[in-house]
Amino acid sequence: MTEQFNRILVVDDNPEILKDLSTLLALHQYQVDTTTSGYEAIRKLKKLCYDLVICDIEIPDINGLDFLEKLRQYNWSQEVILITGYLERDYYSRAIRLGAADFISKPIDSKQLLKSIEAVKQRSLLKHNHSVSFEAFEEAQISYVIDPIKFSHKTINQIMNPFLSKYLDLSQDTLNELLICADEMLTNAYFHGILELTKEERALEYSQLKEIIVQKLNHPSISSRRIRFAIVINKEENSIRMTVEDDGNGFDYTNYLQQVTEPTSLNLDCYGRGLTMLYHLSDSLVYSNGGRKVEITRKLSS
Amino acid sequence: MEIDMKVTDNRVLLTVRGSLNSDNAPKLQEKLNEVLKTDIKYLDIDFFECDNICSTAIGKLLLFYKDFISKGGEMEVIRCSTTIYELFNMLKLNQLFTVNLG
Repeated sequence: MTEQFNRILVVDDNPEILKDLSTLLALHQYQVDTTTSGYEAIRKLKKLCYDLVICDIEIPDINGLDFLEKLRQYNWSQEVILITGYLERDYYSRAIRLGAADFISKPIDSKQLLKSIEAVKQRSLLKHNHSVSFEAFEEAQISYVIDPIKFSHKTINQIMNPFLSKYLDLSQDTLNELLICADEMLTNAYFHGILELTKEERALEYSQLKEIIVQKLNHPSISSRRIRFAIVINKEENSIRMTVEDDGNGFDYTNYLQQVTEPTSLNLDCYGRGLTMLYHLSDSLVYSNGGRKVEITRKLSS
Repeated sequence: MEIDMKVTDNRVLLTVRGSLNSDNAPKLQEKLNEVLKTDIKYLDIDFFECDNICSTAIGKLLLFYKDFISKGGEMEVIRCSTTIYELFNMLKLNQLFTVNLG
């Protein structure tokens, strides 16, 4: 949610309604974006943080309720006001269950709509004020040590997501790119640093690979190794820094770094693709400690 | 993450939803292997509702691609999210098969 709660996305297949609502809402100091398509709305929501979505229940490519359901599946918490010509009881119950903030009937009464938006806004701002704001901190960080026996990307995403959402208004695309970076850094640390898997082993069928992983983790010299993962949000620099360090043997990263800084060419090989992704999705990529430690920094748009 | 597989005549549509990370990349590999076992010639992949993809999953896709084209198959990403579109372009995968934004 933005600090002012003023960014609204309106979804309706009728261009005239979109035009009228845009004019009305802009007059009341809201930043308005519009689209006639539900799927385009999803794309826009991935790109930018909207505080409120005003959505017609009958858009051609996706039903308004299915649209709302998709938002919730993505764990997006935007407030949604549904516009409808009618509302059957079943629809109404489903919309409530999916967390619709309010319902506006057609034809749209401007005063009623503005009143509804104001009520949703006040409720959201109140909710937001109860949570910790990044404004109060210069830096926020989270770090944890990972036991390779209990290593799971699912858990890491479950920790990362709420941490980043708590302090920042990140677009879904930015959050996804950060999750890709974390995934690549941790996967490299786990497969290559901790488990020392070869290229051939990585290419094996999952069941065979799993057997090898279990065997390797039975060796105390491997299972005693740890991965240290940290995320730091720096307000002054308006950036996120992620660090992953493992207790493995390290690797000669200089050749790989040289390759990724050159213009990307099609790489059908199994190695180096993750590093290329890290390089392109971050503003800075630094290896140290003989390749055991990798740090990326990503600047955030203001 | 969910993968739906729909077969019509000589064509198969794989729809991937959610995060395709190194934890669940083997699921993609399983589905692609199922396609390889058939005589299907055309594979369409829908990544529109796939939020992100890791290099392990891309690796599985490329391993499949090599085997699939060697038996005369053709593959296309019919729709994808902006993040994936940009990643595929950056890795030049669009030189191998068509990647549509959707």
